[in-house]
Amino acid sequence: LHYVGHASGLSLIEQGHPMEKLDETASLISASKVTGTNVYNTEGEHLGVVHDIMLDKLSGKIAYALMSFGGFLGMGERYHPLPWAALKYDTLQGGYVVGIPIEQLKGAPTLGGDEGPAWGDRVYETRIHDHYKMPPYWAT
Amino acid sequence: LLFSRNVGAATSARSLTVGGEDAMAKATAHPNRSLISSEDVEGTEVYDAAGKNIGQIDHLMIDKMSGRVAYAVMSFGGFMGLAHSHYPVPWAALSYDTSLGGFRTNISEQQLKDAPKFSDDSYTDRDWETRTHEHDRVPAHWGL
Repeated sequence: LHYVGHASGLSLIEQGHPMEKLDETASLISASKVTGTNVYNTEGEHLGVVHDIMLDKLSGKIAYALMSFGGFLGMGERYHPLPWAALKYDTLQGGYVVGIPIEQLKGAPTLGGDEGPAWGDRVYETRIHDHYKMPPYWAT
Repeated sequence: LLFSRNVGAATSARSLTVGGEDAMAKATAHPNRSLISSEDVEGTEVYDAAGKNIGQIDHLMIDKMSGRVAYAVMSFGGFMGLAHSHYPVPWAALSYDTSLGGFRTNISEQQLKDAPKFSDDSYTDRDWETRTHEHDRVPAHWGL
C-alpha cells in the first residue's frame, strides 16, 4: 500500500485504519489474497497456484481463475483459465481443490504470457466451459 | 506489439506500461474487454461524474460464496479533505469507461464524507452493508 502525495494529514491513525489490513473475513476475501493461493487435486496433490482472476466487469462476478500449474503438467509458463465454479476452497489445506483429472487439464485451452486471449469472445469462452463441462458464467 | 488487436487508443499507454514491466500481466491486461484482470483493476484510476480524477482502486473484496466482487476499496490522496485515506465502495457504484481508461462513479465527495463508519466488523455486518449500499444508492451485492 502506498499513499499518494505528502499530505501531513496522513497520520499514524490513518496508517492503522482497519480497512487496509483487513484482507479476509468470514464472508469476504481480498482479490490479491486469492491470487497466489495454492491449488490441489482431490487426492491432495499440489497442482499449482492461482495466478490471477478474471472479473466480468458488468456483474462483478469472477469468470475465470487463471491457473499457473508450472512444472506439474510439464507445460512451462502457460496458464489454464478455469471456470471459477470449478474451484472449491478447502479450509483444511488452506487452498483451492479442483476435481479435474490431470488428463483433462492437459488437453484444456491454455494461454501464454505473451498472448492476448479473446476475453469477451463467447465462442472462445464457450470452448473453455465446454471443455470442463461447466455452465458458462454468463448463464448462471 | 502485444495484444494490439484489443487495445483501444485510450488504454494503450497504460497497457504498454503493464506489458513492458511484467510479461505475466500481458495475458490478462485487457481493460477494454468485458472481462478484466483483478491485478489490472488494482491501481486503476477512478473519476467522478464530471470526469475529474478522484482516486484509485486499492483492492477488491470478493464474496466467497457467490464469487462476486462486493467492494472496491478506493484510496484517496487526501486532497478531497476526507477523514480517511481508504473507503469501501460497492462494486455496483463503479462502471468502466473505456474512453477514460478507468472507472467512473456517481458517488460524490459529500457521500464519501457521510458514508457509514467502517470498523473491523463492517464486512460481516449486514446492517453496515445495507446502509452502505443504500447510502450509495446501488443494489446490494448479495441480492443480485
